[in-house]
Amino acid sequence: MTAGLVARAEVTRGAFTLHADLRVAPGEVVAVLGPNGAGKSTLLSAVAGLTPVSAGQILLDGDVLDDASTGAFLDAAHRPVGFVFQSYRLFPHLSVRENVAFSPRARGSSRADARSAADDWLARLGLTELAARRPGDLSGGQAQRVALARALAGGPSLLLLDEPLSALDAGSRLDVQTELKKHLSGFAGACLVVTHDPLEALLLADRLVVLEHGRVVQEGTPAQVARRPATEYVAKLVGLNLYTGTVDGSQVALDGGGTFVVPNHGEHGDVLVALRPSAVVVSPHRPDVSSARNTWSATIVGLTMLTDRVRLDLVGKPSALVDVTPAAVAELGLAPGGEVWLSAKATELEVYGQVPGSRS
Amino acid sequence: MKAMVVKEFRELARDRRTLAMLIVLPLLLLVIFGYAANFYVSSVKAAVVGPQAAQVTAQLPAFFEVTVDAPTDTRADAEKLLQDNTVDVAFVADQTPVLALVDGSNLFAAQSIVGTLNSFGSSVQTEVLYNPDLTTAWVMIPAIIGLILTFIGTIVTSIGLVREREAGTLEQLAVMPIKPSSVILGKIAPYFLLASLDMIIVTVLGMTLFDVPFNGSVAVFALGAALFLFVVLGIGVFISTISRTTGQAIQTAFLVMLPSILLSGMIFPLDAMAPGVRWIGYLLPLTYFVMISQGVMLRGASLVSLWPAFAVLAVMATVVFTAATLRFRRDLAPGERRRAPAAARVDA
Repeated sequence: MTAGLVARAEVTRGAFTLHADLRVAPGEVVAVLGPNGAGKSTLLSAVAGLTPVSAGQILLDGDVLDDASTGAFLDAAHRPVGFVFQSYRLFPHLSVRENVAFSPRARGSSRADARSAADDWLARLGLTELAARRPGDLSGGQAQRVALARALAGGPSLLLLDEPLSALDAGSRLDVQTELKKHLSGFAGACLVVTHDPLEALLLADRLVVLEHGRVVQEGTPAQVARRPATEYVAKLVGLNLYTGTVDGSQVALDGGGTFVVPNHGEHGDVLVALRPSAVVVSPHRPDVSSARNTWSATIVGLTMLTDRVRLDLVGKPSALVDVTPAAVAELGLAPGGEVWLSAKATELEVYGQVPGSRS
Repeated sequence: MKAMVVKEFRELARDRRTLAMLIVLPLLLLVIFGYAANFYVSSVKAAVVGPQAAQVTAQLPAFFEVTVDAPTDTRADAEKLLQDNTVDVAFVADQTPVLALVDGSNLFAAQSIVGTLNSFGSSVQTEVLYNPDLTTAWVMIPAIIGLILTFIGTIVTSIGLVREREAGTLEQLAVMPIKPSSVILGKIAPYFLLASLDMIIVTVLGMTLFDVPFNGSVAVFALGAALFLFVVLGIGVFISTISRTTGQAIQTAFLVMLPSILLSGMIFPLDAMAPGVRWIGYLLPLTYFVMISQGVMLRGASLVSLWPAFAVLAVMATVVFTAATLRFRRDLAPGERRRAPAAARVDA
């Protein structure tokens, strides 16, 4: 019997089909990342029991939740799942304590036991002082913790979080992220977090699963995914330049034009090449001599001010995103339309195999 | 401004509920006030009892449609016919002048009957039963009880349910360990209790303030009210399943309530409506509750005599409530397409 969540299923909603293939072990936090329409909500809905699978099965701790081949289906009310919605969905006319106590009461606990469980979870999440308040009197972070307490008070084996921090403003998000990470790490069951925010995923998750167009395109630890993104979407999320190409000896012929001299890699055929924006040097003229094996010209088409640097969007063969300091922009007179030369050392390029649905 | 006008027309064209109100409502009012709004009863059902029944029957004008001609029956039998709502007037032809017993619980018919009988002069002695002074309040209060139940059952219930959907807490309930049937019954029970309490208050106030009698069985009245409540609660639940916002729920409930008020016999007598419109009244649950409430409160009518109204309400309650809760259940258990055996363990 495999503990935790095992989802190997197809879920069809209208014209869209999700091909889910993931496992979440007890005590593990897995973040499902993907653009809008990738199938994240469909996945959560299927695991929660709100949408049946059209093929395959979903198991939790060895128990069948849904199996298309046998027709077995455990409805949502009977699944040991705690669900935290994006907008928390606290019952507006119940106090914080009553909201949290609702879960164990719904499972059949007596009023006294439910109240006791609620008080216990409120204490664990630092919410005791808010017990008598109504949801309308809570901040976003407080409401999120109450929703989490309510989900946990029901004693679930699986915790589902749908964009848990998206309803928060940027100012409170970081503090709440840290707290949420602490509470999730103390949860003994499997935890599946759906998000479109890469930072949220990187901070909260032990492992990432990336969904695009209804399929898992990459899976791995945050470090693995950040170092070797498998798709353009993931590369953009983690802030890397990503190129596809074909190995030609010590070079890679890029599909979009241009070539890279790369370090020894042991790959053959089609490959992916990742390059950090901060690893590219910008020069107004072609460098005469340097250790950088890759030099090419490009045209600046855009500048974006980030917190402590400026990101240049350059078109060339290949195109690239490059990070420079604001001082460099000023000194070099970098502006849209300007022609520059880019340099990148071969050792800064990460070359790896281009495998569909790759697992890192 | 032209762009605003065009935008507004486009929005109206896509807002089916508002369109329905703009188109259906005027047509409905036209039909109602054209064909239904009529206080004049053209004929009434009459019984003639007593030894001179044949002579009296022969002399009655066409306004009195004699449906019971029983020479051997007595006044007591005639009163029973009135109590059971079999006839609107009963002539007791065992005395001179002839005694005409009028059912005062059917106000408009009674008024027409009394007016016609007055033209007979001293040859007929008139006695109005159940509502001797033909007081409008005595007839309206039992009907208003039904109206209040309709209001709570449709508008208030549907708003309460839709509000849960708007807040997203309905979806939260769907993923909680509560059976859909428990959610539905748990949501509806308070409205049932509140409506029942409102009904008791209005009934007692009506009796106290307007001296409306309560001549019949409380149990029969309560049974009728309970059946009627299930129907209107079912309608309220159904409205909530086809409404995304409280505004939509109110619009739909209003479209449901308006025909009920105007075509149930509460304001305009059913008998006076054109047949083409009267059938609508017979489809409305309020019509049957009004029959029950007026019958029990004013005439002391029995369950047996009111069985057709009870039967119709029972069928309506079963059909409407079942259909509505099945629809509502879809929101709470959308994935419940297949019935599952107990979760099987799998070595994966």
